[in-house]
Amino acid sequence: MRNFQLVFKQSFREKVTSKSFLMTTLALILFSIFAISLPSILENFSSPKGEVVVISNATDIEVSEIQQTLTSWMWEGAEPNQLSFFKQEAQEGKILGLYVIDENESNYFVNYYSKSNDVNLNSELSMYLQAKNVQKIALDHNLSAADQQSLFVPVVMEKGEFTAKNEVSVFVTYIMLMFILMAIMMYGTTIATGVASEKASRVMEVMVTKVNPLSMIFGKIFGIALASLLQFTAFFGSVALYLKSGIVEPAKSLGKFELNLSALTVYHCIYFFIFFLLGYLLYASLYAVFGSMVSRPEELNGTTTPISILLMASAFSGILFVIDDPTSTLSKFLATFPFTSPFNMIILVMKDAASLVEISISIGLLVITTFVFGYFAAKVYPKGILHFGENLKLRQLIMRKS
Amino acid sequence: MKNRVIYGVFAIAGVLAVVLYKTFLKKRGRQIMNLMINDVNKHFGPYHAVKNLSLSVEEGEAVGLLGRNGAGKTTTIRMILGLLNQESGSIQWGGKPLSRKEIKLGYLPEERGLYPKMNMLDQLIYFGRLEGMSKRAAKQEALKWIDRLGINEYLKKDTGDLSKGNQQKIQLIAAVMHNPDLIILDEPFSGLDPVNAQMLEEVTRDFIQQKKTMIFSSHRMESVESFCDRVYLMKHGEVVLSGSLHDIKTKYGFKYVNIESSQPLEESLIELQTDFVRKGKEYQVQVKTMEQGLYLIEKLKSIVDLRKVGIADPSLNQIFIEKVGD
Repeated sequence: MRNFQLVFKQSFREKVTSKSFLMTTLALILFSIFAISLPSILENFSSPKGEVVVISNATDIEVSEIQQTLTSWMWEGAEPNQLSFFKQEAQEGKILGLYVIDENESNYFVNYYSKSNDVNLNSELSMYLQAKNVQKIALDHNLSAADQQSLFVPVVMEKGEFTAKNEVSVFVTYIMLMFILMAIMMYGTTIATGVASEKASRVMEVMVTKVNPLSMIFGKIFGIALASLLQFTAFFGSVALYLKSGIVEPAKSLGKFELNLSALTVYHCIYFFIFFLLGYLLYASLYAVFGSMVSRPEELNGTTTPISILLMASAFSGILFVIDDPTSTLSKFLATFPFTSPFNMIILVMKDAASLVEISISIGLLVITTFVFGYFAAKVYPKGILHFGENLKLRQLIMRKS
Repeated sequence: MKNRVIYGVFAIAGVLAVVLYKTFLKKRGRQIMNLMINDVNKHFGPYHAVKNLSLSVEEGEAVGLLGRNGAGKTTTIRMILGLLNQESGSIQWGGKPLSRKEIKLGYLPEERGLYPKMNMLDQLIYFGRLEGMSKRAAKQEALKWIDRLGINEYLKKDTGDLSKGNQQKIQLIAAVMHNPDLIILDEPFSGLDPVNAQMLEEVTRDFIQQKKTMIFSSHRMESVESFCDRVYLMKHGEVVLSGSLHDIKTKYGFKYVNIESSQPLEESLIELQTDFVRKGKEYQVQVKTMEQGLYLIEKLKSIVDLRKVGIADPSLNQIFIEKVGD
């Protein structure tokens, strides 16, 4: 236990003091803050308001009122004798448009000259003039002030939620899946590289005489796990603090994806943490074993490909099959099978489609499998790290006597 | 009053009895911590790496384990270290099966390595702590050794930036700083310049003077000859020669007659039907016994004028080449 603690501390310290760790953490935080702030930044950098010139021949249409009502454009008033000059300006694109407002007995009518033909501008101006006309008719018919007001009560338009109240939005679930996938791959590779480097530098020859393989492998795995948790705490903490500071209004959506986090509860976060940690431990054991099979870190890429494929297949099976139909038999199987469950049970939990029993079975199986693979890893690991020369195959590693 | 005196006498006698009993037991019960390997075998697939190996290292003794590459030395050492399991036979320490929990091992492997991005002192403290030392004790011991081996100036330097010789010194410190019961040095002088090799030889000599139990594996026969009491020579996983150096040399099947003369000896030696090797001015003739050697010298004296003659045992190097060379 003492040596486990020493290896654990050493692995943790080595990881968190490395330049790559500090740079990755900083990059993650900065990138997230940038992504959150992007809508606000874009708003600030949006093109300046277009200039629109109005010649009003209607008695009750004032340019100053238009300026106050339709604020997305810069309105300028002009005299009828300036018509040809501003027509020329509009034709050359120097102004967004020239709008000449006239009236007859029943309504207003507009002649406009615009090169860009801004549909939005036309629609807004039309609506404004329509409202003015209704107001004029109401006044002509001596309607009470209350009746006049009720004419302008807007129709309520409320955007419906695609997800039920207790479901986390699909996009947030995607982010979680990607997070687990990236974290396991990133830290798993760190473990495999660490093992391969120790083997390549031959320090392993010294270490195996001082520490038993079980302490060595799990000290390393847990040390790096703690470093990863520290990194993600720093990441989530910084993002949360930034959001709480109110410097920017966080985006509610990204393109067509909802970013609503209101349905995310503490339980969701706990389950997310459990599945992330167990998934990491399971795959980290495999990464350690595969790391012990090669003689140099450069040879890792080819060797760890099967784990990467398994990880990708597990994560994408969730995106392809489970998100759309979380109650199907396939979804339930994928959410229970230990190698795919860290990704797929999270989807079921976020979509509120798993019972407590199902979640417990999934966690139980994952824990058992993690222990079995941890034990297996500790058994074959010393054989791998003491073998130099040609790379070992997994079958050779398992069959090889110690 | 009388009773008190009697009680006092009984009490003192009781304490004395306990002290004497404990001292007696301690003396009697002190176990001799020796290494015994009996009839051990190990295969790697079809390859029989170690065949019926029996070997012993007495407490305070330095034993040389010799052999060419692939002879089974490293496999034997790894079995002693508990890194590999023997298929048959036993490995005992102090009469009990060797257990890593009950023995402090100091191992300097042939293939050496350190954490390249960790500084020297931190690394040694880490290794010391893994051997059960407290942080303070590990630091003290590490500093003591660093000072002795003259590498103080690199204290806070990453070991990856140090020369091979200095890295080797760090590895030696890591192997011995926790005062191990059994020290195993596998090729301790390989890759060292003469100055560093001499320094490490002095350290090794100190261990021998301190009566440390040691296994010494090396290709440098002169080192083995100067450090070891006994040797085991391995070939293809088997011990082909073992015993004390003196016995091996004196009882070995040949001796060398070294002759120097003012005139060429080739013709005379051919006439006497002997095989010889010329080394500069000196001629070396292999004979089976001391008597044969003396007879040869007498014969030559009657033919030519001899400047210098001598009969010597074969060196360990010569025995090594003779025994394990193809």
